Amino acid sequence: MRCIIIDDEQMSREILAVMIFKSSELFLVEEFSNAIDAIKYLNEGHEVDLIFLDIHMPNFSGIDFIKTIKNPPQVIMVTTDKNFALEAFNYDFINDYLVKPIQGVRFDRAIERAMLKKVKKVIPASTNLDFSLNELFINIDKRLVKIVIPSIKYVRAEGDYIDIITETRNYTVHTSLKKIEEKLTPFNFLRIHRSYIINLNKIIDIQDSTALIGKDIIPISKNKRKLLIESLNLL
Amino acid sequence: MLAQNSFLQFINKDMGEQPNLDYIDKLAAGDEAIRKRLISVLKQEFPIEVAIYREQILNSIYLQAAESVHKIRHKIGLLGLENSYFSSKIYEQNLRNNVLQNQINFENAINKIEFFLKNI
Repeated sequence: MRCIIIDDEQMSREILAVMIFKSSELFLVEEFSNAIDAIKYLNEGHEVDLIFLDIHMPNFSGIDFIKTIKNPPQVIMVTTDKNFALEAFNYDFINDYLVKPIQGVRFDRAIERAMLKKVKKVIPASTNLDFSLNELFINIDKRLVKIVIPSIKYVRAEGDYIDIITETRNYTVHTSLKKIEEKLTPFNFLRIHRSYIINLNKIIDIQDSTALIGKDIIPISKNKRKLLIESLNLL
Repeated sequence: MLAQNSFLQFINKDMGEQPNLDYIDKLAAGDEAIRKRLISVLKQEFPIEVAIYREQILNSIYLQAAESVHKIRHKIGLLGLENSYFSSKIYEQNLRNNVLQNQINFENAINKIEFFLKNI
């Protein structure tokens, strides 16, 4: 998820930047010391999935910011006093709040919630996708090779490369898991491990900390299991 | 009376606790570059915030001083001064009502941090 930080306190921005850097789900695209600059940035049409927003800022607070932006992405409020966050919960795009100093466990939980919300948002949309968009071109030995996205079973990270495992063959591409994740997420794919993104439609069964896809057993990270289960159409 | 005593005991605990880098060390997780960066930002930002706060108190601009306390409170918390963190929350609220109660506890905490940051 592409995210930005809005906080007038530099130390807070630094701490969040470290946490974002450590997260395999997040990519920090910009940070702002005031909300006005962030509004200008969003109005320029930059793609942002998640905002870390300090509530308590001079002149133009986080609450003012929330009231101003149109078509907002998900927002995680950041505050020294959780009472300040309560007003913000009137808005459905407010995903969570974090109390400073932010604790790592709490941060991870907030990101998990944001990821879940993102998955729930994109899955219904994927049913209306233009079929021509179901294709992905990958660069192999200076050739652009077409892959039909629904044929991908899973993708595995291997150092600076990824292996794309499809129904018919495997491809090794020099890129990151993060890059392909952005392309695949709208097609019902989910990262279930630091090194694996799977096609949810290809799961045969799930047992404890593994998922079976074809004959391959894919590990599920402890912190991804809940997200995976909630992404499934459970009876 | 009992509640008052408990409150005083809670405030007096402030005197014992000392700033530490546990939070920063945990966040840096052994990455020396991150650790140095965070300490450097702390050393740079904290004195500025404190100077602004002292100026506001000197000029009796208590509402603005409360804003500064709010900001400084985060740093008090991340340096592990838990009791001072909660005590300064009360001070912040007091300042919003033009009351200076808890000022000494708060300023003790910032003095400790100033000394600590000069020696790391």
